[in-house]
Amino acid sequence: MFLEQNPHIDYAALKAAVDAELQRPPGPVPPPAPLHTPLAETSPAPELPRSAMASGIGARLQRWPHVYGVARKVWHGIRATMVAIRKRPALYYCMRWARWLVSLPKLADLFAAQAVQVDQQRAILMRLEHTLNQHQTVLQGEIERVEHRLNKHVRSNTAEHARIEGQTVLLRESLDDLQHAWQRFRTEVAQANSAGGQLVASRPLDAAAGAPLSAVMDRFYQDFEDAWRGPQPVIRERVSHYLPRVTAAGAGTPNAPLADLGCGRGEWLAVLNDAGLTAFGVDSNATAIARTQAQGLTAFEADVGEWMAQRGDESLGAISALHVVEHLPFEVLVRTLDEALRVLRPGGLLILETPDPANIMVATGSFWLDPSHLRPIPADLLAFTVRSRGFEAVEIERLHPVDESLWFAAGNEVGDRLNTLLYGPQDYAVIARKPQR
Amino acid sequence: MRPLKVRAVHQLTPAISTGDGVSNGVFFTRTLLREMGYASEIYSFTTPPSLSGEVHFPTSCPDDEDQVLLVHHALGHEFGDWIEARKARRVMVYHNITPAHFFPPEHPVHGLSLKGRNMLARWQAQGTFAACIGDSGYNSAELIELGYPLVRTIPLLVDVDACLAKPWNEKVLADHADRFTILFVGRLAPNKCQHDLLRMMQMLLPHMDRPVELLLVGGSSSDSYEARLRDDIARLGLQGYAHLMGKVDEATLYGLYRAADVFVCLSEHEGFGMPLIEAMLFDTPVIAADFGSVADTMGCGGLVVRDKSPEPLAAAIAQLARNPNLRDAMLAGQRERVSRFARDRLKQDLADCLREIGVS
Repeated sequence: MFLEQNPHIDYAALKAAVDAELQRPPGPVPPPAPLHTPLAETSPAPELPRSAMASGIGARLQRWPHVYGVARKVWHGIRATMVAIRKRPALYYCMRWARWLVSLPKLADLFAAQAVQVDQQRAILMRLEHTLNQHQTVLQGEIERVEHRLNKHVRSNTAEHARIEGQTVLLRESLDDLQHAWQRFRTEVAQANSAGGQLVASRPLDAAAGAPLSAVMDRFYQDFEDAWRGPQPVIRERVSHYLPRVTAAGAGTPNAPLADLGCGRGEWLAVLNDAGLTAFGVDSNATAIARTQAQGLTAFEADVGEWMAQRGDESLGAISALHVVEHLPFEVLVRTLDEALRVLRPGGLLILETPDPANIMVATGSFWLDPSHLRPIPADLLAFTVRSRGFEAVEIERLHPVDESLWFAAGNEVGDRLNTLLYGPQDYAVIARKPQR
Repeated sequence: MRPLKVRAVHQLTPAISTGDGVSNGVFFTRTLLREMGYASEIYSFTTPPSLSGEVHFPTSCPDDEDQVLLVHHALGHEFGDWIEARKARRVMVYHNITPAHFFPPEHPVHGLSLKGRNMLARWQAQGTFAACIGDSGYNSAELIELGYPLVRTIPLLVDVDACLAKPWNEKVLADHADRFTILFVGRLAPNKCQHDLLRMMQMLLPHMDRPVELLLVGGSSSDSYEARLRDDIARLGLQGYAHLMGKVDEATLYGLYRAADVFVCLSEHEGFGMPLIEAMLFDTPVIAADFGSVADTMGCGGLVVRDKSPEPLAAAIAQLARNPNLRDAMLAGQRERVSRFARDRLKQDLADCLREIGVS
């Protein structure tokens, strides 16, 4: 381990001591650091400023010692002069001032260069701003597109929700019906047992609503409606007219659904469904029901009178019957109104629309186009009947006047009267409420 | 060789500055020569302004046959041709050239180091020098290996008496009296291996039972190495135990030599290792690792370790801290070694050398 050069050292003993030292367990804690060590300046004191260029030149000149000697003397002379000048403040500041004057043109150049740079920066900023605007426009468009798609989905979800709720209501009612039928069946079986096996034939519910059309007639009537009732979009737009009244009455909820009697092709149901309201249709025409159900709407094939008779009290928020009453014998109409008053909740809405015989063209012509129409009903008669069966807030709304292009020129009395009689409203609606308790 | 009546022995060094080992040696040699009765001046191509009165530019050097020119060589330079053209009898004083591989290729000293060794080979082939003086046995051995015929070893480096007489800061001694102080003096440079000292310090702490500190004196030669050392101090938990002192003034330096309990040198290259001798002068025990000329410089003094693995080294230092007999033995050897640097001895050697080249 050691180079044994020092004759005064006993190297064997030293080696043994070092080995012993290496074996010695270390102290529990290292000794404390000395309290204070005065440190010298790490960096040397700065010398006079040196010129890198001068030292470079000096290094090259060293190849020729004579030249280098002369150059060196000159250089040291210059430096000595500079030091001497520095010691004379007036002279020194004169020199500084002169140097400053000399540097003025340079300063102007510097400013010009700065101005150019500023212009360039400004141009870059404008470009950036432009790009930013473009991006903003693109983003805005994207946001609108997404919003639009979102709305579409929300709308379709609402319609789907309404449809499902309508079906739920119907299913619940079917279950109730089944339970009732089961109860009735059990009662009848018990009665039969007690009456010694005699079967009591239960009288079927009054088959009221006119003569039910056969399947052939169902088909015929649908063809007829397609030909004369008007295209579906037009009808949809017409019936949308009632939507605010339904929502204002609080109807169309799962607790207070709307029943559309004689729903036909289901235009009104579709409008209600799109608005997210719970509604279902009833019609005795199997073809019409099939078409309605094909649109994903809830409709129920039944005789209107029978269906009404089976509904529980105060189970509907609104009842509509658009172009139905003119198909019913008057007694059936009255009975249907009575049933409607029963099944509507207090404050429930009733809407009846029918051709208006006040229009001579309707009364004499178009009304009779439909072979299943029984008789035209004047508005006053229908309003009176509705009021007399117990409804209140009965209103008559005249609807669907003939296109103005067919009218006589306005301004003369005959023309005006004829316009009223011939081209006035072709339909009317009676709208009423079941009284609040 | 023709006998020569010589009146002047001048010295030429390519560059001179204040404070470095070679420059100190040059001034010391001038003093010796003047005391021996010769006219003696120093010539240098690069001189700091503070020395401009004492050192002359070489063009003013009279070129006569009846004088001797001592040419100091420590690094490559551009003035080989000028030296070869002198009529005076030339003697080379060889201070070691730090090998190029200690510097990265882009470092200026890398190229100069290679050039310096080329010049040695060329001068040997041309017989430019009548004799050579190695300032250590290690340097002389290099010259002999190169084939130089007349090589003497004279440590013309340090004026021992002047060194001891120089003023020193007594406060430093008082500041460090309460602790075991380990000292190293040398530029902060990877080949001086200050990082190994820090590792050794880390191993030493558990062996010590009193406050201990490591003082690294010397300016920085590389910012990255200094940063690495500071990083090591933090990483090894040596804050408060190890200090980078920077370049200190002479009075502080001589104070620190006196205050130190041990001088440890793990440098992988020392041309001569002047601080080792200076530490010996002030009776500070010296422990050094055997690299380059170190073993030669240490001679019979102090303690030379073969390798610098930190654990045994730390154990040896701990022994030194505890065992006054070891300290005394080291110092006895050191005093013997320092006597080799006494003025009279050096003057005698120098006179013998001049006689060998025919100076009467």
